[in-house]
Formats: sequence, C-alpha cells, structure tokens
Amino acid sequence: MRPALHDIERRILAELASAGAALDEEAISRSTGLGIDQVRRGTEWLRHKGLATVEESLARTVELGEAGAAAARDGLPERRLAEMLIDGPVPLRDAASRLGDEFGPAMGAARAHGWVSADAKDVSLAGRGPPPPSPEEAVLRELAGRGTVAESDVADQAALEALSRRPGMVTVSEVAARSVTPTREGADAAGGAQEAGAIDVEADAPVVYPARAHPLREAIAEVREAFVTLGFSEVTGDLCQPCFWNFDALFTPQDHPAREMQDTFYLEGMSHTRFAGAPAISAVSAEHKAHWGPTWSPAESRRSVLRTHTTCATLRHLAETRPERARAFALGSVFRNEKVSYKHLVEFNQVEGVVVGADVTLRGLMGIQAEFYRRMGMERVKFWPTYFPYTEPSLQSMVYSESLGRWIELFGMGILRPEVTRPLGIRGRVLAWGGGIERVAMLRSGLSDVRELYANRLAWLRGGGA
Amino acid sequence: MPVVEAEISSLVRLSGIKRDALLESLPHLGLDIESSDSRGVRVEYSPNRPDYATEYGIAQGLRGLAGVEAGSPRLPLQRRGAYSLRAARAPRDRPAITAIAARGGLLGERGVQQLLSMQEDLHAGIGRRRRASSIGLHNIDAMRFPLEYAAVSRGETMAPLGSKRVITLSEVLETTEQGAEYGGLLADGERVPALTDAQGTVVSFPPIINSSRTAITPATRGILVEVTGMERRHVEDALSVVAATLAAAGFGLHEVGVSGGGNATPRLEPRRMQVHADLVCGTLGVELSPKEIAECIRRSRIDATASGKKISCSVPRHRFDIIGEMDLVEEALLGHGLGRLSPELPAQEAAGSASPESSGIARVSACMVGLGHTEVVNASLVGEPALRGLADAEVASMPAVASPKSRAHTTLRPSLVPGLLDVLSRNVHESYPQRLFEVGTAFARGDPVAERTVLAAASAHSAASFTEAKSAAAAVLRLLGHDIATRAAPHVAYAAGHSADIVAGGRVVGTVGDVRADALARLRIREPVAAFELDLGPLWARPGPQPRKKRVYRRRARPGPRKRVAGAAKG
Repeated sequence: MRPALHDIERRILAELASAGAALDEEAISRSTGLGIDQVRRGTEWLRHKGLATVEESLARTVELGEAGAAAARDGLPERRLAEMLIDGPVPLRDAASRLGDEFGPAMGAARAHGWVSADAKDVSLAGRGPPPPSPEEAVLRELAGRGTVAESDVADQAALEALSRRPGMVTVSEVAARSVTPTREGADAAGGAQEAGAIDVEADAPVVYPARAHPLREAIAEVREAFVTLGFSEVTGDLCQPCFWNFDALFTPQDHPAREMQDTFYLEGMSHTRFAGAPAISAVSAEHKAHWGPTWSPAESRRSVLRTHTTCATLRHLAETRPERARAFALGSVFRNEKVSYKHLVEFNQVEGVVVGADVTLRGLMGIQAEFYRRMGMERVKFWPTYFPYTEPSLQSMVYSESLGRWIELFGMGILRPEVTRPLGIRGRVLAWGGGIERVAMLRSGLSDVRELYANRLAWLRGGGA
Repeated sequence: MPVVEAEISSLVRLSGIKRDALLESLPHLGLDIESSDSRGVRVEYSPNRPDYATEYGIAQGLRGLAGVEAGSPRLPLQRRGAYSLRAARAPRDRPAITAIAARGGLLGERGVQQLLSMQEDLHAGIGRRRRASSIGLHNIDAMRFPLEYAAVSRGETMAPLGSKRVITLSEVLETTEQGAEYGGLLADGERVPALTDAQGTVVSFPPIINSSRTAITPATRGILVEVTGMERRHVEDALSVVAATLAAAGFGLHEVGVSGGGNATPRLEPRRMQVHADLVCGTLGVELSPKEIAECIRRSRIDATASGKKISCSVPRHRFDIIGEMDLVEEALLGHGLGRLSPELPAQEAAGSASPESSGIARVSACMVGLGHTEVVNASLVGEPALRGLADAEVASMPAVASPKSRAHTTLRPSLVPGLLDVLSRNVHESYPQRLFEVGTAFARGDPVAERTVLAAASAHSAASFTEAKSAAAAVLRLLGHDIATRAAPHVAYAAGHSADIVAGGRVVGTVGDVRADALARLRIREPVAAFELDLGPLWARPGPQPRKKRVYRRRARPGPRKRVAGAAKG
C-alpha cells in the first residue's frame, strides 16, 4: 500500500528522486523552495515512516571574509596592480604607494601567476593586455555569487585553499549537516508522489450526515414491495373504527376479554353512527346471537375504538367489493392498551394480506407465506397450529434468524371463519395472514428493544439505523 | 394466553409416550412451549381449549396424536344417583346453576394444584372473570343432600375458604380479598346467591367464595363440582371441562339432579355434526379419503365415521369450541399433522399495486430527504401536556382514549409539529443543522373521527428562518402540482408576525412559521426553529390519488375499487 504523504514529504521525496543521490537538507531547501524548517520537519516525518534515512555529519562551509568581500567588489590586489600597468610600466615607488599594504601580496601573487616582471626601478606587465582571470579570482567570484557554500561544493579546491591562506579573504565554518537518503519504500513512494496533483487519499475527511428515511419506514416499504410483487393490491382504512368492524364483524363476542378497556383503546364519548349497510349489520348480529347468546347490542357495535388490527381494513374492503378472486393487503398503525416495554408498544404497525377464491387452500397460504419470507431474505420457515378467534384453521409461522441464531415467531395466518365471511356476503374462502412489522424492522436493525424504533435518536437515524 | 406447568414424568406416566416423542408432539397439539427443563415444561394453551389446562387433558391429546387411543375420551357418567340440587328460588341476577359429582379417584397434591389452576383459567377465560360462570369444587362428603341454590339474606353466615371463623355474607364481601374483587358482580339489594346444604350450611357464596368446611384436599375422594352463572349453556360449558378432566384423572362421574328456576340436570351428551370430505380436502389442499379423514378426526379425540363422502362426528360436550364444519376441518388437519402439509405457492393471477396514498407519500418523503430533512416516526397517541402551547386545537376538541395505562398515551394528536419539536428537544447534543420531517395522521373529533394525512417539517440551526421553511413547503407543493401562497395568520406554535397559513389551489392547506422563542426555551432548544405542516389529502395531484369521495352504501355493493381513500393511509 502506498503510504499517506504530506505535500512537504512528497516534494522532498521527489527532489531526492530527481537528484538520484543523498542530499542534505540545505540543498533540498534550496532546490525545492521549501523553508529549511519545513524540510527538517518533512525529513523527520519521512524517517518515522521508514521512507528515508538521515545521516548527521559536520560540514564545512565557506563564505567571503571582509577582505574577500572588498576584493570581490574592487578586485584582488594583484588584479588592481595589473590594471595599473595596462598603459605601461610604473615605477616601483609609485605602485607601492598606490597599493599601500597590499603592494607586497599583490607583487607576490602577480609574479606567481607570471603576470608582471620588475627590474630595479619599474614594474611592468609580462604580456600584452590584461591577464586572464586567475583560479583565485574564479573562486572569489563563485563565493560572491552564492553566499555561504559547502566547502566541498567549491570546484577548485587548490585555489580555495590558496585564497583561504590570505588573511580575511575566506571565512570557514563548521556546521552540523543532515544528509537525507530515500529508502526503497521512499523511492517507491516518490514514484507516486510525482503524479501531477496527487493528494493524500487516505487522510480522514470531515464527517457529514445525509438526510435519511426512517429505518422503520424502510422496513415497511420493503414489506409493501414484497406484497405488491406477490400480486397483492393495497387497501387502506381509518385508524378509528367502530367496534362493528374491529370486533363484531370478526365474530368476536361482545363480552370477549379482548374487547375490554384494559386491552383496547375506546375513544371517550365517541361513536360512529353510519358505518355499514343495514343488511350487513343485521346479518352479523344474527350470527352473534346464534352462537354467543341473545344479547348482541347495536350500541356496543357503534362505539369508536382505535383499531387493534388491520383486518378491519381488509375485511371491510372485501365486504364492500365482494370479489370472487382477489389478493389485497392493508398496512398501517394499530393500537393496544398495553404497558410499554422492550417488547410491547401502545401503537405499532401491522400488515395483513388476504387471498380470496373458491379454490384457495391452506397449503397455498403456507406457500405464499414461505415465498414472502424468502423475498425478505428469510429462507427457513416452519409452521405450527395455533388459535385465532376469527380464523379456522389457524397457523403460526416461525422463521430462523441467522443473526440471532434461533427461531422467532413472525406472522400468524389462517382461513377466515365462515361465521365471519358468510354474514358479509363474501363468497369463497379467504386466506388471511399478517403480523407486526416492528419485529421485522428490529431484525434488520439488530435492535432488541422495540422502543428504540420510536426514540428518534438523531445519531441513530443519521447512521441509517445501524 | 393461559399457561400450564406440566411435569414431564407425569405426562409420560399418563400418556404412556416416551419423553422425547412427547416433547416433539406438544406443539402439534397447538401447545406453545414457553420453556422447559429436565423436570418440567411450561406451555401456553389456547383459550378455546381449556381442557388442556391440566396434565390429564394434555396426556389425552397426546395419546390421540400418537394413535395410542383415538376417538372421544370415555365419560363414565352414572345417571340418576343420590344427589340432587333444587334451584326453584334461584336468584334472578344469577339464575343458572349446574353440578356433577365425581368419586373413586384420588387427586393427590399435584392433582389439586392443577385442578385449582384450571378453575382460575376457566374463570378468567370463558367465565369472563366469574360473571358468565364461576366454579365451586367441594368435598362431597362434607355436605348433606339435597342442596338448595337460592337468594338469601346478606346476614346469613359461613366460614369462607382459608378461615375457620364464621362471618356474615356482608362481612365476606367486606373483609375477604375475593369479596373486594368480585363483589361488584352482585346486584344491589338485600339478597345474594348462596348454595346451602340440607343442614342449612352455606357451602358456597357464588361467585365470591366457597366455605372452608367443604374445601377439597389432596386426600379428597369425592368431589362436587357446581357452576353458577347467567346462562345454562355457559355454566354447562364450564362444567363439562371440569367433568372431562376429572374423568381423565380416573374419577367416576355421578349425575346430580338439578331442577327448578329453568335449570335442569346436565346431560353432557355429545353433539352430532357432519363434515364433507371435499371441504376438508379443498380447504387443506390435500387428497385424503373420507376414511382417512375420519381417522384424523379420531386422533384429535373426536369420534368420527365415514359414510360415502360424509364424515359423521360425535363431538364431546367439552369441545364447545367446535361450532361449525370448519372446526372439524381443523381437527382433521391436527390429526393428519401439519408437518405433512408441504407449502405450495399458487400461481399469481394479477399484478399487485401499492395504494395511491402510499405512492404519494413515498414521493413526498423522497422530496423531503432531498431537501436535507431526516425522517422521524412519532406516535399518534400522545400525552396531552406535550401538545400544550404548541397546537392550535382546544384540548376539548382532541379525541381522547378511555382508561389509558400511561399518561403518555391519552390523546390523538391534532398536529405533527409538537412531535418534531419534542424530537429536536431530545437531540440538542447532536450537531446542527437538524432538519426533520414526519408523515403521519392528525386527528379531530367528529362522527367519524376526522383523520388527515399530514406532512410536517422542522429546521433547526443558527440561520433557520421562515423563508427556509416556506421554500421547502413550496418545493413539496410544486412536486404535487401546486403553487404556494402564504397569508399572515396567527398560530399558537409560531412567533407573532412570523406565522402564516399556506394556501394552495384556493384553500388553506397548512401552516408555516418561526417557532416561538419561549416555546423553544421551554424545550431547551438553543437554535432557532422554523416549521411547516401540510395537509396532504387535498393536495394529491395527478398522477396521485383522486380527492376523497363520499362513501355510499348500497344494499348490494358492486365490485370495484374502494371509494374512500383520503386521510387513511399509513406507513
């Protein structure tokens, strides 16, 4: 993997790669334009990452001394002597007085270069015209142009040494130098670092939160989708229902415990006056009287309740359309007057599907159920006999949860009792099945407390319920 | 669902079936295993099968499924014995009584325990908390016949169960736990129901308590079962279950002659019913011969014989859960074994579809997410204080529920904005901006209750403003094919001068505004909040759902799409 590099590191590695040799930090600073402190920081980082080794050594640097600076400006004494002689020989006495203290060194150097000759009286140029620059002058010019340089950088070491021997010409200092060598990994990294405009693609980016749909709504949408693809059409119904549709039409006796206020929310002082046609009401009433006793009360059937299941929506749909064949489903909130706990809510979502037809079978119901679970990603299903007041036979299904490692109860199902369908004029058999959706959402989100679904913790919602 | 705790060794002894096979079979009887260990098993049984309340009943079912013993269990009932009960002066408000005697068995410690627990389950279930039927179990040798059931004075005395002290029936009502719990079932007035023996001793004060003098013990060898209630059929239902259980426990049954007040000696005779083989096969989706079906029903402990395509059944009296032929189909299924039915996916005949409301809500929700709002889900049923100062509606106009178990769930919300503010208030520690929305139902009193499908949104951050909220509302309205207009109007939740109605298509469809600073302070929200709410019902534009139509009831409803759509969609 390519290591994450800072821009400074990148530039140092690139410089080392193009130099093809170890460089000291000064040199890197000069050629990259980075400040020396930036370079020092960068090489330290590279060393930590194992991308470069750093060797410390003492390095000698040279720069012009005071006399050297003057010579660079005005020329070395021997040059000034030579220039004095351009127009012809000059008496020794005059030359000595014009150059002062420098006459001696000037004469020594000029003679050593073979520039001048002198007799007892005069001094004169040995050749015609100004003599070519001496090696010392070349060094002087080099140093004047570069300021402080490594001693080893100066090309003519002999001339430098000659110059150094002359007082005040050159100052030599010793400084600690850090020489940087890329490791193999560093050299490899430099290859990438050289791509134009490359960035540190592995650095952390700031956290942003997307807006999201609620995980429960997503689970509901998935359930709806599964029903639709299985050929079911959605029907809707009100949350506030008369007892007639919530209980009576489902053959629940009027004194049944499930109808008590401990379990069901009755709306204070409210009732429905119109909710079904007279024939349906009298047929349902007759069915109740035949089986549960003579005391069926129309007032009781008018009371408004918060629906305790979605079956009232599907049943009402079937009662009003009386299809010979149909697949329909209802999905939405239902209510139970319960104490809220980690597994019970007062208000939750339920889905319920019905299949109508003269030839529909229990095996078909089991098949639809298994197919539904398969589409929800649950492959292992088993069925048990159970009891529901308005279906006969009644089954309970269990699915194997891979994440929990155990079987869990999901939807219940059955065939609507003839005592339910007959009074409403529904022909054929009606397969019905359904259950709570929160359970499905909990499985998806890995929650063990159903209240979490309604806690609306923003951190959880922003994470998509993960 | 009621629960029974059974000892595995007793079940093995009573059924003659080995432990593992037995545990495997329990769910196939419709018994849901709650938990089990090496010694016992806790099972839930359905309220329609009170005969499974004891090990005796469960063992009987297991023997049937295993094919060890099929058909109706034997009911060894001796007619016309020495026992009689007169009810000519039965109380008017609790007129029905029935009874039976059981002898020759021995319950033991465990048997008594189970019988009493079954009695409690029967009271809670078909007994409707003792109103429809209440059962008394007595040591028959501690009473003299004939018995009399009559309305007696509250000044009569008895020693109630659990006490030797003789007190008046009034005192029983005032001082005993049962009196406090069930006294309300008695009518006001001087006289109350009592069962008195030939010596004038009150042996039972139904539906409150029995006398301690006739209490049953593990050593009791003769038991009188009496049941009182409102209707003869219901008291005999309860009696039949206890009688069948005692028979299964090895007791012989003896008739008690009951007469007077519209009561009669219980016959406990089976009912004859028929089921057609085609119904069984067609319903289950399996091919079974009438003979095989009869055999299946017999395994469910109901006598059955096939003749032609019809199966004639003789349903024991205690199986009053069998009310029609579909119940016999289920018995056939249980006897056949659900495990032998393989699921079979039927061919799909038509395409399915989501409701127009669901599709509309999905579009609106996607639009809100696109605008940067995160979806929340709140309850429709809320605590009234949570709405105070945040909803325009008067408390009196909000539909409320009776007897809620929690003060947090008393009122159907008239608006969704208070819920969004509550969510903001609970997330003040999270980073801003916080933008939320919810689609749900808002309610108002009416006949029927008015239900509206509503979109509400709130935006909280340092620069949140009326304008931002209006822009978002306008985006939703555009999606639905409407232009937005806002008109100054005061709303409780919004600051004065920062509050408006949203108008679209010439009608008010919602509200928008900056939430009042004092409301925010109360909710400990430190950022400004702007919100809006839109009534989606009237806004669905093509290709969404059509506006609500009045529901029409006809004598014969014609097939066709359901008329009423708006205001009901959830999810």
